[in-house]
Amino acid sequence: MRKDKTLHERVAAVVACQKVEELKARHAYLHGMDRGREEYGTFWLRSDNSTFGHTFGRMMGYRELVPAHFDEPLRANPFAPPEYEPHGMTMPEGAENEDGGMPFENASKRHHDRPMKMGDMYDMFDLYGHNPKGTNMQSCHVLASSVIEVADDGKSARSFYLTPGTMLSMHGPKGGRSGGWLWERYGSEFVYRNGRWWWFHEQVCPDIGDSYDESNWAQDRFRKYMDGKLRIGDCSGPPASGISDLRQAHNDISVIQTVQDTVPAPEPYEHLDEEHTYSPGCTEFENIPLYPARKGFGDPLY
Amino acid sequence: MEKFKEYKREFTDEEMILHAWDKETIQDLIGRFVLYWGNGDTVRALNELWVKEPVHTADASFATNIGFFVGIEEVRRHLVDEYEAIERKTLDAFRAACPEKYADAGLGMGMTRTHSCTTPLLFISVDDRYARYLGYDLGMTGHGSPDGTAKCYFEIGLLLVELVREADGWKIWHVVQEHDFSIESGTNYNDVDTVLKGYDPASRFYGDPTVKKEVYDNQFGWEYLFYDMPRPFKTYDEDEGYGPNGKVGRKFYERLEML
Repeated sequence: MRKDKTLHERVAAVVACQKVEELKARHAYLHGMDRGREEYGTFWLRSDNSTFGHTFGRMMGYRELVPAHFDEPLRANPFAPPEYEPHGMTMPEGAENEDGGMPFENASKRHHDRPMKMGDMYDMFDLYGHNPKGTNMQSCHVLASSVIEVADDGKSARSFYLTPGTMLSMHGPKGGRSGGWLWERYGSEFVYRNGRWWWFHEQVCPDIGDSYDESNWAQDRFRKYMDGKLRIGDCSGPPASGISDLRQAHNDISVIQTVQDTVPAPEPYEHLDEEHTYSPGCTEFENIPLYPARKGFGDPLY
Repeated sequence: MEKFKEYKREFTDEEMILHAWDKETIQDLIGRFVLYWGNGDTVRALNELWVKEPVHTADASFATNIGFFVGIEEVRRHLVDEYEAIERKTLDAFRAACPEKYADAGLGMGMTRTHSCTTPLLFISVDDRYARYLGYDLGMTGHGSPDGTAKCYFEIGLLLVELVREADGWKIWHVVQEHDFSIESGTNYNDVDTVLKGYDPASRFYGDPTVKKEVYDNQFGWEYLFYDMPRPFKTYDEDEGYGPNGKVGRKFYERLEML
């Protein structure tokens, strides 16, 4: 790390750190409200080098990232696939169950004396006019334990966060409430271009996730792995919209592995390069074209 | 290096230092508030962290899911007096059950709570006089009874805060505590009643607000959060703020942006 930084460079680094905190928080809430359009359409760099990684691999570039995250049937979206896929990932483990869904929902008992889903309740309550986004659920990716480094050149920033997150539903898929923990670690990268900070790379690394109380999140899954009913990495799959990098990035949600330091806390660095990135092969951000801001796939609200 | 640009204006180094300093100061202030609040030290919280200038105390507010406590004395009634009444009732029950054992016990006996502020999203107005903050409160409450039973919950919800810069620094002006869920210890969450039976244990802390209105319906969750969450703003606008005449709690048909 350079020791001869000017006052302006030091101030810029502090401001960049606060900007990273702001963008991470905005993501946490917007994602929890299922508002991918407002998130990826506003503060992500619209480039072919922008990537979003999960357990199943990486969405490579804005063209793969957008259709997987915009939760509206954006037929006008030039990148949207013919078959609209509303979720950012598929859930192979959930597919074994009658209702699919997140692991903690699969563990829930079915309540036959209660409405099964929010959709079933539309006949019982006048929900007309309510906005379905964010309705009936809280999905909070709580942010904690941040480590943020700003490059010596002031043009990029890297962050590590842990999330002891929680997801709840007032009306779960089986008629009762459902809720669970989802603890993950995040490696994120941001770049400064055209006078503002943009989200550039994200690597999501789920560590544990299961019901609050319907199952033993450690033992139940441990037995599945030991019995061969579940393979490490099978808990989530790529979005139906498709991705081109299917490498296993992070083995999810298992207690039989050593701690996976998939996204180590960033060290001080000079500039974003192959030695300092969570997304190898995609570090160039200055001399690459950007997709225009208004093409029906995002509104610059900020 | 380029000059700083934020909210479509440029900042000098000195201005940006002050801006960054203000952000850290506000986060520190909110942290103190939730700590004092959880500790039951709400008198100190009000005296040190909340607005003092009459122009602000008149409409200072604290909102729960069912309404707004308006004016600093009404906020005090809720944060201090109403909670103390619950504490006193609890203490009296312990003393009645076992006078000798609990003769010297003080207020707070049989009760505990924690509040926190995580995932902070904060913007300061362009004129540097106001700030809006959103955090997620992961807390808990515990309430024991003399018979040896206890009801304990994780209490989870959103915290919207509006602050104003007074002569002696940043102060809390308006708070909206949107309670999402209570997760009862020792109870299978999936077996908890849904909205059909109106299960909401935290309602005992909602109090008796000055202005009764449905501020937050946890049945529908984060439906309005996108419209209420902080974003860059030029200056205070009552209609857009978190006070009793602000946008929080409005239904979709009262929100032009949703129609």
